Amino acid sequence: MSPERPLDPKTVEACHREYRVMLERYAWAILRDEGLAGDAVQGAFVALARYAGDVVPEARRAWLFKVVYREALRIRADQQKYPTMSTDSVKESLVRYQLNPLSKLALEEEVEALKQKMKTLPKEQYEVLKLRMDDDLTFGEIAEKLSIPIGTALSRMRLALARLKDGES
Amino acid sequence: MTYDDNFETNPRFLEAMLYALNDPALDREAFEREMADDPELAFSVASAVQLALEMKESFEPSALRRGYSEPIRSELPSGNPQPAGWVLTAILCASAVLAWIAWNRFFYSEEIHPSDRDLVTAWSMFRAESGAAGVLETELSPASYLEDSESSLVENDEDFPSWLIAATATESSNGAIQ
Repeated sequence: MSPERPLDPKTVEACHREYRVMLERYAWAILRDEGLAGDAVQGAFVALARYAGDVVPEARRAWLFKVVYREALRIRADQQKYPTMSTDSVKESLVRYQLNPLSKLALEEEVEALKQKMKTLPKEQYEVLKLRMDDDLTFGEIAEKLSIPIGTALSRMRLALARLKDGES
Repeated sequence: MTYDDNFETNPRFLEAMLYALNDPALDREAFEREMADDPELAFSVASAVQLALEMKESFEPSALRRGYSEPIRSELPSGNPQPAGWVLTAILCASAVLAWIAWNRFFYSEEIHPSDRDLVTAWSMFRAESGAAGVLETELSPASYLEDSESSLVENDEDFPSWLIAATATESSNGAIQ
């Protein structure tokens, strides 16, 4: 165990405010479980408070993502848990996210903005997006359903994501 | 939430989304090995999960979000709201009829046709305020009216000049002589 290099509590609190949600998203992507993802993030912040005293501020985010990654892999190994995937489980994290009224408000605004962007998508891109996100088909299944190569399905998804994320085609 | 990684400068975002969606088109283990040494790729995964969450919400609001409106909506009457309007109209009409009856009763029974009781009450109040009950009683009683009438007759007699009375008497007496 390396010697402790405590970080001051106010900085820990500020980091928690700024990065917690995104770290939980990341941990969830690895663990596919809301509770385990929360555990991984909690472990990362404990480590931040105890050992990140000499981490420069610019490197704290990257440091936290790396620690969460290691924590998530450790927890996954302990749990021996590889649950099957469904995009419905993406919404597990919504429950915790909505416990914070400000976060809920921000999410509602983002969802509304996203809806407006989705209306501007070309039909073929929207079709792939809907089949993947709403109907939970894999890209292989989408390609088969639309009788297109899987590369084309992925390309349409990429273009749709580019438009939704950056507002450009 | 802001995304500080730009899709155009991060072409691996599609892979991050595939990882977030656990799509079999991506080699998951290989991608995880890359993530271990690339915090930006890790952050792209977090952004992809966030975007996936928002897209799921766009397509199908979660039960938690629906819960804000649906319980209220289910408590509202599902039928035509017209009956409630008719009830309100009936209440207003009934109120108008009652007001009209009360209005007529007030004017016809109390002002145009005051009852004896009301007259006695008004008279008593007038007496108490004026303090001239005795005079008024005398003036308004039938006996006083008769007295006044007699006195006025006497007074009328006295209005004849005495010389006229005397002349009349003289003339009568002269006529009698003649």
